[in-house]
Amino acid sequence: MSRSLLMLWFQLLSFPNRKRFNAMTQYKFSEKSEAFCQEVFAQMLNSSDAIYGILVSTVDGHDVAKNFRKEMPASKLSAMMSSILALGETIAVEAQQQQCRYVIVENSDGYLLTLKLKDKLVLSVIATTNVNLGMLHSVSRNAAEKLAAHVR
Amino acid sequence: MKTLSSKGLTEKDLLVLKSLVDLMMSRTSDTWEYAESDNCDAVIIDTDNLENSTAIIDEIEARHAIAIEYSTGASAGKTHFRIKKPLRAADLIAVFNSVEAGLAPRNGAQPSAADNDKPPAQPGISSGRDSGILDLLNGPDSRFLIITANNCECVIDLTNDRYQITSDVAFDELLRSSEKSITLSTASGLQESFEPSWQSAPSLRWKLGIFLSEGELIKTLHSKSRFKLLRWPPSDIPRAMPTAMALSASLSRKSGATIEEALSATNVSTEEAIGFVNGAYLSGVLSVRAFNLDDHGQKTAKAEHTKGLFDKIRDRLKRKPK
Amino acid sequence: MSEVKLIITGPPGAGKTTAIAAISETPPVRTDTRTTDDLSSVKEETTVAMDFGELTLDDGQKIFLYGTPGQKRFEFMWKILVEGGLGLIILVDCSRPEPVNDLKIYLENFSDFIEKTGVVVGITRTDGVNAPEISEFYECLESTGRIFPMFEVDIREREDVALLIDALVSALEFSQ
Repeated sequence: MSRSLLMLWFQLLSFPNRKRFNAMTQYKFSEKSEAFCQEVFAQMLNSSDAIYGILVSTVDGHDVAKNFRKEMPASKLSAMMSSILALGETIAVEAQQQQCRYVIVENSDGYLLTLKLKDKLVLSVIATTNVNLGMLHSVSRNAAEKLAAHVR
Repeated sequence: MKTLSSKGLTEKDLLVLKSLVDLMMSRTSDTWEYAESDNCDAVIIDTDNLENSTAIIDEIEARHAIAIEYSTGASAGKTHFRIKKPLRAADLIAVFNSVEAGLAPRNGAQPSAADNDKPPAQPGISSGRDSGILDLLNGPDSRFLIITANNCECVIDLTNDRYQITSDVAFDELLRSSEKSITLSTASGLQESFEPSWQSAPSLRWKLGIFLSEGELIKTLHSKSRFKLLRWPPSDIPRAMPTAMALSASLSRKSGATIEEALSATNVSTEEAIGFVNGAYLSGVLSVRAFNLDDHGQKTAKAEHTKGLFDKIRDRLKRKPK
Repeated sequence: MSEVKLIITGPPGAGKTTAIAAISETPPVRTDTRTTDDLSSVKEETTVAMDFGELTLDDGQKIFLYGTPGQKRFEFMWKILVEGGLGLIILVDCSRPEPVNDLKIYLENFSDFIEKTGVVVGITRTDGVNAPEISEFYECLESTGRIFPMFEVDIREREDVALLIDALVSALEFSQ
């Protein structure tokens, strides 16, 4: 399974563009929620220079809100984050462990951390290795709690 | 009228042949005409000039046309009909008359006009050998097939791929019965009276081929031909005949397979393979070719490599969950 | 013993998860999450990573069955899951608006894998009034240039899933 997760990361670099299904009605924040979300994102980015991408997406892989300091494919990342989080939760059950809190992908030059946000949403944070992992946990968990309490 | 074409003839022979065909119209029982077409009744093949004459003959016979060998010296025995070089009118007339006689049983086997008015329950054309019945099914006319076994009668409407049966016996079981009698009949107006109890059977022709062939290939087909399946059968065919999976796969190779090749690749009996080919042919999903295009030796070696695994998977699928 | 993988794919709601549940000898591993888009009117949950089930052969060898997510946005999972696979099962749901086009899309997207291995197509929910004729699916399948098996199936039935796998292994063994 770990091999699959690593491969998943490698696929980020080689994923080709192909034709898409028709656009669908997707989960959307209210204007107020979107504004609150961006406020939380700004606080997170201010808390550490190492954080350069924050993404909220649905559990079934659609992007909802983002703040990226560099160009990244939000819709693709959303689908991948939903897969990896679902896999993390499933692996936890198979290993007889409870309540998957985070799925972390640690790479030579950065981290990807993803966690559930309410029933239908996922928060993903992308950072360089200059960040302390404990701090990244803390910033992400706090943000998830704030967002969960306010967004709809 | 019958049509004739040729393969491999020199320009001179071709000119002579065309002239003779025009001249001898009055001396053959049917009218013959030369035509440059792939669908002629007969084809004269100069076996001296063609390296692959056997394959060409196979292809011609596979589509039930008559192949006539044209050669010097002794006959190579590749066909039933032969003309010795050079071309002479007398030889040609003799062969044409023989060809007409050879074609006659197939035409003569069609139901006579009198049969058209008979109700289906009355005897029409019966056959001691079931593939004889299959040969007759292989025609464009609307027909009914009546199968009787163990006090049970089944009327099959071949045009609409449906049947009705007089008892609770399953259709497959009736076709499998060793004590059945089969009658073919053409009857107009029958559909009306039987309408309420018809059961549709999309794979009916497949089943007739599989269960009624008794190891005899339909006459239109040639045992040495290369067959290619254009579509796999519906799911009730492999359910009724598990070996249909292996046969379908074997015959759906890019270059198709001969019956012999299908038998050597699979553990299927000759009777099953012939029944399957007949069924595919009657269902209109079989193409017939005479040429061998692929290197089958290499493919077989690859299949051998994984054969054990596939057998084990099949065994596991037969076993119900614990 | 080498790992043997069979992959089941098809559009969302075609019955991939159901098929694996029908034949797997262990409770299937699922990665279902709540649907948040149009699909929620058809089903409450959808697979976002993979489904997984297994069969054990008489000598102990395992056959792994992987179900892919159906949505195109999960194409990266398709590529991961087919790696080292023995063959593909495509399920097509006739209750969807354009099932023949669905088949075309999956044949195209898995074309590299199909070229190297083989495919069997299972047509489901054929009893609807708008279900296309089976010949329309065949015409689409013929565009691959090869003859592959295709059957109408009720994917909830173990026997029907077994039929598809049987056809696939027969095609792999005798058609190659």
